Amino acid sequence: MTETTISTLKTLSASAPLPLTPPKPRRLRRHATVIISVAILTLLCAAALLADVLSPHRPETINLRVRLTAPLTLPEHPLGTDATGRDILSRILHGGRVSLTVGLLATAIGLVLGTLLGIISGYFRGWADEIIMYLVDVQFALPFVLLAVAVSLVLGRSLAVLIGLAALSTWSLYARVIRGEVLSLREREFVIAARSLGASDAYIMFHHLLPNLAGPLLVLGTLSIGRIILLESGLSFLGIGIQPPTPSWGGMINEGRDYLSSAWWLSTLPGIVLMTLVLVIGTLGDWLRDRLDVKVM
Amino acid sequence: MARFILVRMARTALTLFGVVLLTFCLGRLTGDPIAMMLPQTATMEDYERIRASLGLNEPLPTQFIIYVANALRGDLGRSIVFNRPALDLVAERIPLTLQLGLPVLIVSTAVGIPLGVMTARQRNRPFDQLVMSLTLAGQSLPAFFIGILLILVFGVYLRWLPTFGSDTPAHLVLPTLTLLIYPLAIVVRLTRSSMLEALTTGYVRTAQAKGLSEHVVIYRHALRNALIPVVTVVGLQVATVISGSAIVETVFAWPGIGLLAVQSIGGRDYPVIQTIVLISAAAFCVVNMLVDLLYFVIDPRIQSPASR
Repeated sequence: MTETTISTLKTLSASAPLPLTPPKPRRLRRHATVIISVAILTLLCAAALLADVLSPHRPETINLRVRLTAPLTLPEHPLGTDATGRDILSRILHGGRVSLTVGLLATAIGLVLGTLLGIISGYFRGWADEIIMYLVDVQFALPFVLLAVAVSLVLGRSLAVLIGLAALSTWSLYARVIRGEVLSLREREFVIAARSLGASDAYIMFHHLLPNLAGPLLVLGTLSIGRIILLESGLSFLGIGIQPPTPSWGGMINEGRDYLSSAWWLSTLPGIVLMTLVLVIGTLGDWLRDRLDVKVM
Repeated sequence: MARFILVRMARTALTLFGVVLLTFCLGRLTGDPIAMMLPQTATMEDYERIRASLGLNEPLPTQFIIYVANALRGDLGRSIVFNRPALDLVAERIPLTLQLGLPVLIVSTAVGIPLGVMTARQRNRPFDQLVMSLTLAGQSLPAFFIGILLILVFGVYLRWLPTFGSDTPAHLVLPTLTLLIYPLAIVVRLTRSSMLEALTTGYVRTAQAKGLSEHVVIYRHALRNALIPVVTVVGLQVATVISGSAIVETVFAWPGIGLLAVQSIGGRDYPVIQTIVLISAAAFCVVNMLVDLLYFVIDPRIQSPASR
């Protein structure tokens, strides 16, 4: 893709603050939304971390005597059970662990890779830039879900493969945004000054450019965690994510499809938790983007 | 201009070449295609004979050249499961996928852009906040979950609409609605932010100072410039529409390209998967190129990659 698409990808922000009219009166309400979001996020993360302690049952334990129990009917299964009598609450808690692990690790890997390539691309220009941007173009052109499926056929299904694939899906966006930022940063006075003082390329890249990329990286990272969690659930839904019986939200939603008419809670409960998590992360990402005045997708 | 178009086309071709190389390598890694085709009673001689007849005993670079040459002639291999040309199989499904995709494309553009303009004009008022919350929720909902909720409400409880298959026009409603939410949310948010930016520019203030009516300022001056990023996203949507949605087509058992892909994966029908990947990538590249060329027509100030 070309400069034009890069510039539009960068304008994909939801609400750039207007320089002329500072939105003063809305601050309080916005803060309330952010505080609530942080609280919910903390709660969900804590629940996933403490899944072993909080779960009333093992997530894989089958108990056919209580199969398809509705929520709030049995005290030992507060959110009900699935078709083989596994406890929904325990499965949601453990499934959250998978979603958050994949979201955080894949974002971290993708962020490091994309930032490194983006800085190299924007700083050195020339053939390095051409090659990296070519790889970005190819990556963007590939239909990711199908590619992920093909790769998982070759490498099998495991958490590591899932994280690797999710990381692979994000690096290109980071590389492109970071490259754009570096292109403008490298012409700034402090970089020229550092260069004229004899600083090495590596020193300039890591001591002058990288700190100035903190804002975009923070926003990109936050928004991408939510996107990767959605991606993971989609892959698990198609049956190429986490291997059962390990619970994952996407997998649970998929299993519940066969019982939609008789047991509504199987699909809807994990779906609601998934949506809440992604919504909260999205809200925080939007807020950070507006606060730091960063333009990213 | 001619140079710009040529360079852009060369880049597109190069990108497609990369895609073909990648899918070819993945195809060779997914396992022995002959072992899957042969009956269990086959002998070693049968194996060698088929290997030679398929050109698989050639060195890999030669195989790749043969593959590309065949692909350029429209021969993308035969489906292992259906024993028919993979391209025919995929081409048959395209109309069904478009049946879902075109309404999505039209509605998300025709509703999304005006809604985006309206929210931008009513910035921070209740209407804007409502639409912004709804679109954020729309972006956070996984498509398969939207689909399941719609099935639950309209199929299971209300029994208004059929939930799977593609027999009647009524079958279109739920999958189209499911597919619509995400692009609609994106178009609204993008148009809004782009409009907000356009409204602060000098030419808009000039237009206002000249005493032009608000309608003319918004639609003639601001919107025209604000639409540029929206064109890109709508372009990307066109590409997505052609490649179909594996997830939504699975949820609604809609026999389009996406469902074919999922089924081919189940049957390890690699030539078909490869064909779908290639067609999707080609659609993406071509649409992107057209969008870039369109920009150049709309706004010649935009730098061409040739002068980069």
